[in-house]
Amino acid sequence: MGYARGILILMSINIVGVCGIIILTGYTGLFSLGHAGFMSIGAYVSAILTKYFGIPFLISMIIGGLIASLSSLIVGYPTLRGKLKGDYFAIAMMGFAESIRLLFSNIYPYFNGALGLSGIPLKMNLTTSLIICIIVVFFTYRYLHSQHGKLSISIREQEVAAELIGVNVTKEKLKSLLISAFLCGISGGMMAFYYTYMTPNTFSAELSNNMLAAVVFGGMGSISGPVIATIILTALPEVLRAVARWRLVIYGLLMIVVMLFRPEGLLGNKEISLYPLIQRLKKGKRVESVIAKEGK
Amino acid sequence: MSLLEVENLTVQFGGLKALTKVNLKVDEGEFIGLIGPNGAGKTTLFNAITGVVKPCEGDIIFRQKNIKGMRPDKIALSGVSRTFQNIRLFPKMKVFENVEIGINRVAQYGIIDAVIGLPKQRNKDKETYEEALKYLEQVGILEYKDAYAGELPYGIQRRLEIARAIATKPKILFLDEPAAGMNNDETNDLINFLGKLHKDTGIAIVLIEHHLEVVMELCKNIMVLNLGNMLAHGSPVEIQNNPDVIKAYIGERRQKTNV
Repeated sequence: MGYARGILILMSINIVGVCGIIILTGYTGLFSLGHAGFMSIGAYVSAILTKYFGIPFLISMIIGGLIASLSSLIVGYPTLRGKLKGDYFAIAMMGFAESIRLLFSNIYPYFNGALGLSGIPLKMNLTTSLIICIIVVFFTYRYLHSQHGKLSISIREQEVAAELIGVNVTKEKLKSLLISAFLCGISGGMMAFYYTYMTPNTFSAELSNNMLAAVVFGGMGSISGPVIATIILTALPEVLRAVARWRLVIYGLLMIVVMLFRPEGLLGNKEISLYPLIQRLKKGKRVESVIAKEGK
Repeated sequence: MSLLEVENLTVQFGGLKALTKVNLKVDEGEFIGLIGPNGAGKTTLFNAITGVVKPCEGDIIFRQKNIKGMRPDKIALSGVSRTFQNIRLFPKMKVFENVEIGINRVAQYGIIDAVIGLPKQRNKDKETYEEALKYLEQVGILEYKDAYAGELPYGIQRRLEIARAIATKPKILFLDEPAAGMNNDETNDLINFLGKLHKDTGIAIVLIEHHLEVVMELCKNIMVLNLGNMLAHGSPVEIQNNPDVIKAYIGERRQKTNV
């Protein structure tokens, strides 16, 4: 039971981070290979605040997210203002994440260098992480279905037209980046309070790649797709533990198959929703009530 | 003072002068045609005015303000709108959403409002939706409102682009070859539609078009560009009889020709 619970907590932590990537990549169309850097900042800030200063973990996680968000401004403002996009933006973010990793490996007071932080209080249990995860997914949904989200989609679809209609492209992109960095910071904080131990290498490029893979795998322009993909991709290595040696091969094969047969991802621009089901239930009820009336 | 005044505008790409000291004047509510052979610099002129291309020299005065070298989105917000030669819609958005972007180029509420879903946001979204439907009705494509823009037929896409452009409530509208790739019937429809649109809204329109019958029919004032220079301007009759224009278009001198 403890094992399954651990996986569920890990899933919800990953989903929180992936929500950030959904906003940035799935809806604004900016690819980033460096969001582990923001997770790292969020994790370290919130862990240090709680461990050394005794600040309640929820508050320190939010502060961690805000600082991650602020730091994204450092790399985001010059790159997005210079209209960097596609691979170039992704690589710039990768460079940022690497420099954050190396920076944290070399700060000794509080950060403890490459040895990392240990003895972080364990605060993340299943209930807390699930509640945070659900709130974040809900907020992401609300955000992306508001005018802000629509402006993001317009930039992804046709940047020149959006700009010539009067959308401030740099500002909208920066907004997406700030929010995604905030969510990744929160996710990093959750990770710190779950693992209770971390080194700068916990937040390696692999972590960024996995999050990006989840969004591409799940589908651009969709929220439920990447969330489902995250669940699959987090569970898969655990399910395949029996054939540990072939794990990465199967993982890779799955990626190739999805990209071959569904290049737009599992649910590109679509959502799985309960709406048709609810409609059907309502209709069923109405039919029942009509029958009941006629019976009278 | 006219609405838009372009004075001595020069645009240079490396050694190539795409526009040389071009002057253009558009008054409030005017309908101007801009014609010229391929490569004359018509689209470059649009691009320079809307901020896509940075002009080297000259001034662009719009509503008593120099907009030369400003960011494209700022220019658009000040009341300039345009369509594109090769259609640039948001293909994976619904038709009404395309128009909504035109209406709300800057979000009308904050991120917190959006996330929590206060009534303010719901009302604003509803208002925007209804306004979008109004514009779709105006251009006559209301029945397509729930389709994806990328899946529409070509002529409808053109109309949607115009709907999106007028949804920004511009003072001046630049149409870049709206009749490109249309057959005669569709072209006639477009002439009627543009005439009606101009009469109803009173927006000043500048039109680039290769279908000369469209320009001759709609515009009281026509400008001819050739090789980056302003060749002639005047009424349709004057243009049709201008020997320079005929030379630029056909390459030889004739006494009387319907161009």
